[in-house]
Amino acid sequence: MGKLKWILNAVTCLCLLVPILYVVVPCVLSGSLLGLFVPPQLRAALADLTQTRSLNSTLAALGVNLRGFEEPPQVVSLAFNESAGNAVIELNITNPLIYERITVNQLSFTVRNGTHSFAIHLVEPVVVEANWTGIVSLSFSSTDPEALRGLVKILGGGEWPDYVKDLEISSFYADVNGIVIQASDLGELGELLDKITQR
Amino acid sequence: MKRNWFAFAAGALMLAAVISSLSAPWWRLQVGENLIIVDADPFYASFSILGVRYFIPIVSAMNAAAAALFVAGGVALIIYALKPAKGYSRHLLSFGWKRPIQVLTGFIIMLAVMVRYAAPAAISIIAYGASASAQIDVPLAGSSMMQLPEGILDAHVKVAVALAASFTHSFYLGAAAAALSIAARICHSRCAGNAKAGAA
Repeated sequence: MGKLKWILNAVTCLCLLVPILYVVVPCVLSGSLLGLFVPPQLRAALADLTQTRSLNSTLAALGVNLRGFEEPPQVVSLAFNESAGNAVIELNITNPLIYERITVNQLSFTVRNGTHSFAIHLVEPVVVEANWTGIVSLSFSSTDPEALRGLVKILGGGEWPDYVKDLEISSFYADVNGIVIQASDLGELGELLDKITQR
Repeated sequence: MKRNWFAFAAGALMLAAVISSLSAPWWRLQVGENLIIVDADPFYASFSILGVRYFIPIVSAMNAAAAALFVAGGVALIIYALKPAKGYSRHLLSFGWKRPIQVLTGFIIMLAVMVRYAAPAAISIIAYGASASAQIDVPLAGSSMMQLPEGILDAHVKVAVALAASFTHSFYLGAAAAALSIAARICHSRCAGNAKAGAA
């Protein structure tokens, strides 16, 4: 009986000590106790950044494809329905996440340029698979058909006039992957883009 | 010969709980729609950010130790259950029956600390808002919206993130193993006594 008790005590000690020593000893010997608490992938990614100074490979290790941010959304189609008083633009966007899909559940905002204002909202929820592209449909509507026609001309032209930066964005609501962003007044588009670029 | 079926079931559930942990963690917290996932588990804990899964080495080592002890305890209980009246069985029961209770208690304490203190602090750091911890309420089970402090985007923007937390079947396997191991301990004297009477 005493032998069995001794064996069971030995099993308990082995079960506890072997895995912990297997992790702790190499870290102590190499003098990096941080290795006990920081996941190896994160350490490798950070080491990669400091050694090769390659932001691309570091972000890729963290699941982000930098190219997805660099490529601006491309206009796929633009349809103007004069009788309904709205225009629908389809944009091709790239998912910058390598392993996770992006789900745009809701997106709506109002753009104001002086006296004209346009209500913009997502036509239907969009799912863009990981590291892939997807089509986002946005509907523009305005009480002023002339202003809407002018906007369609600008959007269809490809080149954005300088005064686009003076456009004011308000009543913003977005739900992307369960993150809900709300703002009653975001200010001028130019200032907003500057803030985002600075961050 | 009388067998202790409670101990047998507890041992089998202990082995099942360890295997089940590999596919379903005991408790899972989702921040956003799979943007951040925290898998709390006594045997296979991890977290993933943007689909990349991370393991903290010291936690993984403790997980491996707990899993090895749990499996050893489960095997001991199964061996004991088949011959509870043998002289050595008392030691096997003593070795095995406490394991699920120890693991379950340790897990619940760690989870409570994580939900109450660690998770709000981590979210607060990520969200650049030291005062955010006061508003962050991580649910133990169910879903809620977490309001981040205004001004994190340098604009008057309200940001809320969906949180969803749930216990999985692996947790219930572990809890059932703990309950059955207590029952096995209570039944031990009866099983052993009956077996001895039968043998006489």
